[in-house]
Amino acid sequence: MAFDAQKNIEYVEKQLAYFMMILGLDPNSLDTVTIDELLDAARDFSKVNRGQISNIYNVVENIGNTPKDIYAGSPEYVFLKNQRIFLILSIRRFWYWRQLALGALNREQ
Amino acid sequence: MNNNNDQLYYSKIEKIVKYKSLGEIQDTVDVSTKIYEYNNTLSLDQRREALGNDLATRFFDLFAKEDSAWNTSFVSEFYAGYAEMLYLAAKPAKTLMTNPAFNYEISKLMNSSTDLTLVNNYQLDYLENLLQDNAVNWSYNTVTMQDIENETAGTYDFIFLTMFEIYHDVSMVKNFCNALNSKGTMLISYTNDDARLYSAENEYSQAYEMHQELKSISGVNVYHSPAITGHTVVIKD
Repeated sequence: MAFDAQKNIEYVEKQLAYFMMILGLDPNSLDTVTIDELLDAARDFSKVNRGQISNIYNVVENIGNTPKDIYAGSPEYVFLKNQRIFLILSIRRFWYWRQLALGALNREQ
Repeated sequence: MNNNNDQLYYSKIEKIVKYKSLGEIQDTVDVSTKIYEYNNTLSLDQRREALGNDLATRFFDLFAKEDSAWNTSFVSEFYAGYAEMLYLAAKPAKTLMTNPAFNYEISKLMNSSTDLTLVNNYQLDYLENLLQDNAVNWSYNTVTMQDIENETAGTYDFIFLTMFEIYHDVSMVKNFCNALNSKGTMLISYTNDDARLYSAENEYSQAYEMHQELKSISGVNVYHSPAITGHTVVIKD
């Protein structure tokens, strides 16, 4: 059995649609949405700001570090940052793989 | 490969190991160049914003550069050697592989020595469209990612995948693991999640979560090598 371009793109688009729905975007707009719009939406969705970090000035063992250091090392910050990385990395990869899948599909047609 | 110390480290390793490398660095450069040039014929958005600084999306342009640190030191052979070593030790009758373009030389070895099945993804497209030539008589089956999701992909003695295939849904590692025969070996590469696996609060990384998924499966041993971008190995009882 050889490479099946149709099955491949179906899988990739299904995953991309999942991430679009998380961001509140319409998966049916996949053919018109740009990667910049997807990434902007992902960044808006997963904004990390100091207001979300509850205890940045109450960490006794971090005295001597700057507030920025404490903030960047707090579990809440790392959790939120990694969620953001997960979202952006996944969208970028599936977007890239969709471009490759479209290339394969167009070649066959 | 971050700095000169890394290169020094792998130059030391190069002096203490002995094996017949499956291919030359130039082979990797040639394969990557073919793919890189093909990608340039597509309407592929290759801006940094679109691709990020990610090995999953930049692999072939990185490895196409002869002067890349990945090509000018022993590091890539060392990393590929880990997969080759496990594969040769396992002597699998049936093998499932997801990444023949990342590991073209190993895929050729598998093609000649096991009942090989490749996953239907862009890497298989690269193999069939760009890399196959008359020098190798390719013979393999294919399964789709949908088959993996539905657990209808069959069972194997050796499975070689990258974390890139399951990063978006790390629970899928269980599907791959369920496709592993008793005494089988599964190798997952690129499992350190850009080193987030070793950072403070690492439990919030996808890689940590994937390893927890693996550890929750009964009847498997889970090993991890932190070298380079990380390898995780699962061996079933």
